[in-house]
Amino acid sequence: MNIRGEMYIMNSSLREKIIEVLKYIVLSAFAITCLYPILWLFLSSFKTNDELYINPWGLPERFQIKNYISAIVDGKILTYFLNSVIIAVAAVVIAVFFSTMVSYAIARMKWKLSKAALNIFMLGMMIPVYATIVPLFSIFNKIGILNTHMAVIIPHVAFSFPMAIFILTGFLATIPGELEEAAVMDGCSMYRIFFQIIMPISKSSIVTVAVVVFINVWNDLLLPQIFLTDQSKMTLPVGLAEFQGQYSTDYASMIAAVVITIIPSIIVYILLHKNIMEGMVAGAIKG
Amino acid sequence: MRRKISCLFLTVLMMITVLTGCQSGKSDESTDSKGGMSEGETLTVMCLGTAADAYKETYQEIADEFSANNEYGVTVKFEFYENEQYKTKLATLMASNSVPDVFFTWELSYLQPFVEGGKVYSLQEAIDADEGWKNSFSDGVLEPLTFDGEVYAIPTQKSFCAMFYNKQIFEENNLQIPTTYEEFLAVCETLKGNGVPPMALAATDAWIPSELIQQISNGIAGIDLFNGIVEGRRQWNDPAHVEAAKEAQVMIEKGYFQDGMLGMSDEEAKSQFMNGKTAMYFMGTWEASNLMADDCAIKDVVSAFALPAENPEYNNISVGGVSCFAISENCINKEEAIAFLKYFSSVESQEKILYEQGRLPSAKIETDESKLSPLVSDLIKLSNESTGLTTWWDRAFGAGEGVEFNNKCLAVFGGDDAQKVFDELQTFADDNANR
Amino acid sequence: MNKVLGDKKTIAVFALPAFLIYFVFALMPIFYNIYISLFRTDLMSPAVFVGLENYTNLLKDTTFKKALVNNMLMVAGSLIAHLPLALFLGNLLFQKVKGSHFFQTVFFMPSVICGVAVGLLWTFIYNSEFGLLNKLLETMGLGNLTQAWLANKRVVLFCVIIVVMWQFVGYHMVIQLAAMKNVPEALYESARIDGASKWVQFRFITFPLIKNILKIDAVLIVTGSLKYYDLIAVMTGGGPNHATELMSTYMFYQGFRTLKYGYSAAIGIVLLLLCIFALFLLNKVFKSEPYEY
Repeated sequence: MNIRGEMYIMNSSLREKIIEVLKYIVLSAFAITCLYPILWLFLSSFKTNDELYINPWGLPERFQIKNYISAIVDGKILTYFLNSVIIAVAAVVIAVFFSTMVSYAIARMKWKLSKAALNIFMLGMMIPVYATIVPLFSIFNKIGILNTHMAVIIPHVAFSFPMAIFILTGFLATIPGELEEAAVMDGCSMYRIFFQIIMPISKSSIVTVAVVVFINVWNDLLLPQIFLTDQSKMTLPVGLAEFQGQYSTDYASMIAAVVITIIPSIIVYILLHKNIMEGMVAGAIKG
Repeated sequence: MRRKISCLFLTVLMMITVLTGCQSGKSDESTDSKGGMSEGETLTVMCLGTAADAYKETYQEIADEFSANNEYGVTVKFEFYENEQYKTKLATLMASNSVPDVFFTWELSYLQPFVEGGKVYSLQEAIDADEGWKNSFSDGVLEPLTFDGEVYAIPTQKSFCAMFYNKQIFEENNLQIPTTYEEFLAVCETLKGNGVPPMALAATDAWIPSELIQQISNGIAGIDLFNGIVEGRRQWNDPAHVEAAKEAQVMIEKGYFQDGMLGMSDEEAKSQFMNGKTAMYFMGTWEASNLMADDCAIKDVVSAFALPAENPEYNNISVGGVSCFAISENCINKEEAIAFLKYFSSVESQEKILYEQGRLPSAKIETDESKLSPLVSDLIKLSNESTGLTTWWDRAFGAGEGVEFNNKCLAVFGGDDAQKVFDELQTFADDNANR
Repeated sequence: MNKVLGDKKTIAVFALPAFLIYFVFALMPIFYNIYISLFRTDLMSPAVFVGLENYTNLLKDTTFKKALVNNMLMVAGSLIAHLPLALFLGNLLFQKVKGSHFFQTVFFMPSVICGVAVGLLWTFIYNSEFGLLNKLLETMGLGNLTQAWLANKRVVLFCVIIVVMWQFVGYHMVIQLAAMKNVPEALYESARIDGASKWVQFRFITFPLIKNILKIDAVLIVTGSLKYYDLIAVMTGGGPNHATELMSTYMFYQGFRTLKYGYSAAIGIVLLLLCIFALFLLNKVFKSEPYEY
């Protein structure tokens, strides 16, 4: 090939390399904006208030846990943590159980209203939860469960159905029908098919639903804030919001409280992120 | 396998029921009607208080004294909540019929909806039955707590706005306490000229600029402005308000506030004053407990004066009000609650709060000068000199016009046109009347 | 087999519990909310029937109109960040970039952190004294731009919108990326052989085939940003002076502060109607026929 041709090839591969580098720069830049604030939060939680002002970027002089102690003792963070766990776990268990059952019914069982039921559930994705706050408040008031954990768990379960069913029906639709045929021919009842065959296969999607529901419930502010009035029953987000009013300039303690609040979400995420990302997407695609 | 799953499920369900059952059980206890006076009953008192508020301890001490000595054998427990939490919580409790026995409240339209909803216990009977108690309240102080001729809450602490100032800085700059509005502006000008920020103010919480503007407008139009708006005779965009707003803007322009005022939180502005960086600080008298605390650098040189009025005939009409306690209608131990209120508003308790925390009592009590810190005795002097008290707008009108007034004052501090802003407030008030 | 799968009793056992819970605690409240919105009530005194007056008052309410505008701006900002930007990033990762999994994980993370924590975190970043933003500007020599971001009514809404954009870019990117992965490799092969550029490949292969997912994603984006509450409540509470007031914060305020629960319910219904409207609108915009390939 002549010089010109060679130079052209070299230039275009050089151009490609430059584009590659640019891509990495863009991606890394955004990755930094995602990671650095959290890293900053973590580092700052070990600083004193003065250090925050003097040295906001760098490492703390000493890794002192004074802020965590003040968050836990004065801020009662552990109580809130426990309440968050109780509510989230209960909501997840109940939501998963009932949503897998109804998803199976919609996806695999034969009945006329299955499509309609699916649509009704999907509609729920658009309902803003707090359009229901006042009515729910009224209802819970009348049946007397206000200021109990149930008052928070029940609405969360109800509102988790749309997403959960979305994900699960998407997955269940992909199971080959022969599986049930074989089971029926073996004389299995519906319950046996569901609990012993379907659920084990759907483990991955079920975990996804569990994680999604867990994160939504764990992170929610409004429902616990309205339906719970005893401080001893409040959850982490509420405690955190209150912390802000209580300690408006003890920023270091506030930062420690924020770290305590987000650590469970991050841990769950790191352990199970594959599930979250794959499962949610599967629902979106097959749905 | 199926059995394992169903077992697991049943166990979890049981656990949940037990756990939540425990929780609801606990909340049931506090509203459980055990009927009559039995030993070991608890009276809950819901009150405002953040981590920074030192008076919480004193309040609980008074409660403990009452618990130890009362004839009913009832224990009183305070529950403290931060401002916004408190408002949300009280609103939800009111709507759900589970208000705590005794609760803190502000006067006028904060309390009014609850009274009209039948949630508050009328104290008229108890007051009429006890002449001594009735007379312990100064004239007119029960007015804002009276609805339909019946009193629904007892004022305990009085607070009003004063201009705190640093005596040392004043001396260093050869300044006297201003007695007229012009003198006040001259004081600010001198301080500014000497490089000392005259006033510290935080413009992040809307009520702070608002109380200053309200104070200035008191000085322009007197107490009739306040009464007029409450009674509907005068408008929110009264020229006095607009003029007061413009005055504030002039002060901002001339640099009479600290740098960075617009973004500074109250804590930060306050600490500038407390560290001797600014000469004055306009705030409510509740701040006294912080200003006389040991860790305040200026505790020995701080005092206060009343902001002089633009029209001298309206001097000493301060922005201020009373904080109160009320009893809920579904409190089971009403007698005990009344006994506690009487104890809390008694001279001994009020003196304790005054001497230990510098919080002014709403009643007129004889004060022992020797027990008071100089700041508090100055404040008491001011309190006795005051000729009128106009409560903060967001207490008189609550959420709605009151909060909007605060917002508008914040906008004024941000540089918006005063007339336009108050016209908007008037429109809002007109619309709000129909909602 | 159909007998087993079609047994009415079993279907009822499987489907009814969830449906009951959903109906009683999600659907019925909506109807009840519509009912309450026709009254003037503080949930303590007897309610007064006012018909559609709450809605007509909303139309005249300047604060509500401001909240509506703010919400629209937030929807616009979210759409910009979570569609084109997310698509762009997703496409970058789609091109077999090393560490794609790492980047996906990192980008997705902010969306699992609760709104309150994100709000507080960014309050610290925007803080005028020790905030990262001001410090960054100073180090870049743009010290004159430093200010109290959340107190400045001109920029505060955009500051908040940026946070919302930041929080969920990764979330939507992951969804879109997975959709892209579903497109058969063979199509790209033949396109490359035909000499199509990357942009052409995206425009004519990737984009049309993921349109369906984009539609669902767009609905999630719009309804999500119409509903968002936690973040704003913590960062600004709707202030300063309603500069960041949203329908969600205004609804909370009209209910639990002014005790006008009927009015608050009306705001909720308007919000719901807007979400439904968005659904129909997006359906039209993303109209796509199934592609044969």
